[in-house]
Amino acid sequence: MEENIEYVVSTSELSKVYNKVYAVDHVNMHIKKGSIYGFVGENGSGKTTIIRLLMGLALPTTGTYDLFNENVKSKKIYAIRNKISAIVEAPSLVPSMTAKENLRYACMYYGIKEDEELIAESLKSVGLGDTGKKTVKNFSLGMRQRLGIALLLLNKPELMLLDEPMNGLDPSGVAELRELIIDLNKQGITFLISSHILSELEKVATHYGFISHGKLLKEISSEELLEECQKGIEIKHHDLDLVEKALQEIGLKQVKRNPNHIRITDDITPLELLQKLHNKGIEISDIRTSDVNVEEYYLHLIGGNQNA
Amino acid sequence: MLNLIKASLYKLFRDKTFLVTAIIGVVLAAFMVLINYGIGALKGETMFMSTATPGSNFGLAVPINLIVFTVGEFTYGTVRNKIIAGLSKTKIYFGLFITGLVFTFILMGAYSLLVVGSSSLISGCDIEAIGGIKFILCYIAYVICDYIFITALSVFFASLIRSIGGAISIVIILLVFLTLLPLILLGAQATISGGGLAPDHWSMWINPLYMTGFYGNNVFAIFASSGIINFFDQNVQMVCAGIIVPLIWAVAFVVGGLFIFKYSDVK
Repeated sequence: MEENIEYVVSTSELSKVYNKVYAVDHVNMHIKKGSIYGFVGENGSGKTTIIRLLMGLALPTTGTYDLFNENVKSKKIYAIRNKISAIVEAPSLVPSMTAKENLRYACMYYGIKEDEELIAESLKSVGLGDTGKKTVKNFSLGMRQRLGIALLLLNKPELMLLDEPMNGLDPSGVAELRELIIDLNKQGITFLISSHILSELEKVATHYGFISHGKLLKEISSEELLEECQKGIEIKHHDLDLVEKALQEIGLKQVKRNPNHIRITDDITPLELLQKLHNKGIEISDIRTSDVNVEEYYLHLIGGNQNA
Repeated sequence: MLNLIKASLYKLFRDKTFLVTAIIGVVLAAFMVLINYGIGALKGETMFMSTATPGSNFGLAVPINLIVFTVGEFTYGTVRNKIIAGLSKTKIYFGLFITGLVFTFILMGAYSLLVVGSSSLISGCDIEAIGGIKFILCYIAYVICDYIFITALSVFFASLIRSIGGAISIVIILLVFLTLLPLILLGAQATISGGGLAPDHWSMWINPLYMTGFYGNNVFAIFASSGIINFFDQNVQMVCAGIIVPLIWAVAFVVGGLFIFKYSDVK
């Protein structure tokens, strides 16, 4: 964890056990204020459980967490939660009510003045300004998702946790939501977005958290990720220490050691590299060039983790 | 807390369950009055005794629909939204209970007024035949306390099980059993001892629905009309038992429900 950085979410050894199985396994997660945190993981990896824990919907088995530097056990946590909005799994709406009635109802329990202008504006901002007396049960999945976002915005949150927000949206809906997220982030709202659509996450995320089987494998900024994903050469060897030392002697500077391979992003061809290592008495049998995207990076990370 | 109750009532009055229960109430009220009129048994005082009895007619329809409404709060995610909005689970549970009380008393009150009022208008009401104003006031107090208990019980099982079928089954079985229990125990006592059918039985200190179960039961009404027992006399112990016992049970279910809700996860 970097020092002197303001975190809106910070977990410490956070765990949740269901039927003796860790759904969340000692997670130490940090979300920087003003960031868009892309939360990446396969189905059942623990993303939703972490969001549920952070929102107080589930109680941690062990570990703790801070929201806006306030510990979950603090009496101030209820006031802090008021700064946060979340969609967990799917937006929670009253099906027998219209879009306007749903927002009016939310205003009441949020303790906000039921301002008709604010409600109309919120609906317009998500493209639901003209739904009239149509009740939510007759809404499409995409419309419900957008109404869920409008509901979140009512409270003027400082942190929004969105669990699979792109689900059910058509391509134009996805693009609109992306623009909305970027726009709101510019206004100072921090986001945690879990999504399977990694290509979409890549367009908005400033930071990433990769999770698998309840364990947070890695937290990385988009700049660092870009660096790690750029074109490079990966080599595997039974004695990585020896190889690393040889690479330093050769004069290569952009060398990164991973648990089961070494990655080189210096301007050198695989053939030249093999030749130079051969001259140092090292024979490499497993060498490959790589240019990965977030998805491949994640898959690589899971593989690396499993092999580790 | 006030915002929460305001929101819950806003939702309640727009909820189909409330509307459907109200329609059931009006239809059932008309049906009860017509049937009793048809068989020549329509009397204001008789209808007063039987209308609000838990465990029968509309007395069963109200908790059933209250459970449907409360389970809906969990399944539609409105409870989840309230937790996310930063409301404490204590406030949310009390909000559910108070909304349940409003649900129960509006519907039950309107139904009772409709049945007793129309019966009294059609066939008159002989207050003295049911022990006079003192008994009527005591009985109203018993009914109110019983429905506070029934609301606490319904909200408890609805939020514990969060399944309409399961919660309804448990609550209905309990309500029917508790209203029939006076008949079973007093009947057994009368059979064993060969008489002595008195309203103030020891089980009134345990059974929250003892008084309404006893007085709403036709079998006892027959004894009353034949003058075998001093039916409508209310001693201090009976009044205390009829009011305090259901309230103690109600508090127990509210506190127990709150405790379980506070330490359980919400989907």
